[in-house]
Amino acid sequence: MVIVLWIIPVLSPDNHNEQDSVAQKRSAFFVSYMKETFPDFKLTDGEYLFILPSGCFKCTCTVHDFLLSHPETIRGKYKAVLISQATVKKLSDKILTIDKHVLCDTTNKLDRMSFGISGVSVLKIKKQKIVASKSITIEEVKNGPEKFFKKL
Amino acid sequence: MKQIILFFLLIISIIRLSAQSEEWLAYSHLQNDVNRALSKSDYPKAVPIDTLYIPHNIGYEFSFYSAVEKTQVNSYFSKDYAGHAILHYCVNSLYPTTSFVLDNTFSNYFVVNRNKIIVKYVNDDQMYALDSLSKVTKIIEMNIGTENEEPFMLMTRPFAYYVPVTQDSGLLYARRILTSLNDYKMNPEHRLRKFSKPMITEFTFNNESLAFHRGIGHYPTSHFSKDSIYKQYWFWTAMNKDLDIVTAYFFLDSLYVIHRDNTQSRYPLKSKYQHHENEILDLNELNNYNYLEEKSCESTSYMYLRYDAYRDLYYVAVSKAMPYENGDGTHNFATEKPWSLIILDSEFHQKAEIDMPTHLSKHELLIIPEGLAVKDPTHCDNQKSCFIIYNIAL
Repeated sequence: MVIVLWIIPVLSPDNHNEQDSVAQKRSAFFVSYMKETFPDFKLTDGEYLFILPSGCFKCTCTVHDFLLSHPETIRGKYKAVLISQATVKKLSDKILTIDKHVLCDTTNKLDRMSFGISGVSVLKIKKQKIVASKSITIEEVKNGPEKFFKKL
Repeated sequence: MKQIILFFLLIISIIRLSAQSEEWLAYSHLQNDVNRALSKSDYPKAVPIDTLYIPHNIGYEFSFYSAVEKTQVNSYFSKDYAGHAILHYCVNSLYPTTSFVLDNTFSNYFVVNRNKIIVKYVNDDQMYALDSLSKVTKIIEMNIGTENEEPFMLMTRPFAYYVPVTQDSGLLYARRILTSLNDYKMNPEHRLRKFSKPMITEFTFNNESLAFHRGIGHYPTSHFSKDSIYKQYWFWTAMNKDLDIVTAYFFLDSLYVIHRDNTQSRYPLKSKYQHHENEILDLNELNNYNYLEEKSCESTSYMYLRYDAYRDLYYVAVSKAMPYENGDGTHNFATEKPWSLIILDSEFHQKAEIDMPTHLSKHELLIIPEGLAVKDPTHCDNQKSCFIIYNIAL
């Protein structure tokens, strides 16, 4: 009986392992998504900026307006800026001109991908793996979004 | 050894039984009531019989029994070319009887009757009476009251879940909320103070002034609990022909009825698709949109309570739970959740739950003599809105 009681916690996966497996899964999703959607794009180490319709859309609109008037904030900083055609429709097609690395997903699959981020976000990639991520918060938008675009 | 194991299992069973809360037992009881109601053979049927088009792109739809008109009224907003909000007031129809021009859709308003609306724009002490041509005919003095010098705010915005715009002669109903307790979601003390106030406020109106009369109804006790789900604070209202005010909550499997004498009754409301109680939200994650989207997808919720005065029935849309993650790297959106329609009779007995086509919108339910009008967004555009009419046959 005692042995059984000892075995149960040992067999239960701990939180750490769960988090690792989620991170691995997300990395795999990201790599395969990029390959499938942008076959000509070579995924390299660095930071990737996302503009997604999920989360606080009012915040996304504010950041969008900010980026149109201050494109230098992000220019040349990201390996790619990813946005879906559906989001471009909701915002404006001017967003496609803010950086030469903007990739527009015409399949709109981007908005459904489960990377654990929402709204305006950044993923840091190293050796084909997501090693860090952040999504802009309401407070950051209120305090001026420029600080958000500092390196991860 | 066998006896020891049996003894151990017995102890575990006793502990588990005693841990089941009163709420859990009440929940099971509610479920049995509903199952009994659903086992009857006299299910109503919902049959699509017609398609109607409204020549506007409309929003903020609401359908209610008007004690002034003594019949069903539908209301919705559209925009004119100048960007003004047009409130369409439709007696016994999907089509406008009167259209009032307002500054914007967020104005607080009461429709007094088909020829008169009172609107609050900026000034907290005054409202404007507009006629059917939307001309200002009078300035109405407004006194919504204070308590311990704390000011209240009037909430009659055109979101269906807040607005009992229904009124009978001289009395108007709305919400008034304390302006100072905005952190109530995270602050249990403020939550208690906020939800100790009556749910709905009765105002007197006499063409010259609008004044606080009394508060009616009280919030379910679950609103005060430390771990309460914040989304259950939202409620929908419907007034019936007896002028009872019926309320339904997003995450609560009960209807609450406030009677004219200010007593309150509770009736079971339970979707056949709700197999477990919704998970309590982690209040520390309220700014985590992925978390909220996931929980929203995975919860069953009750929305858009409507009273149908023609058939003396109540309708509640059920947003069914669905998985957030698809397992292939993609996730779903809560807005895509499939839905069903619960139909209750005049005694609040649940008569049926009908699966509705997923492409129809659960957010826009209007009621006309022919039946229930459900919006079909796939056939709407900037010029028109499309509604499928369902005949609800008992």
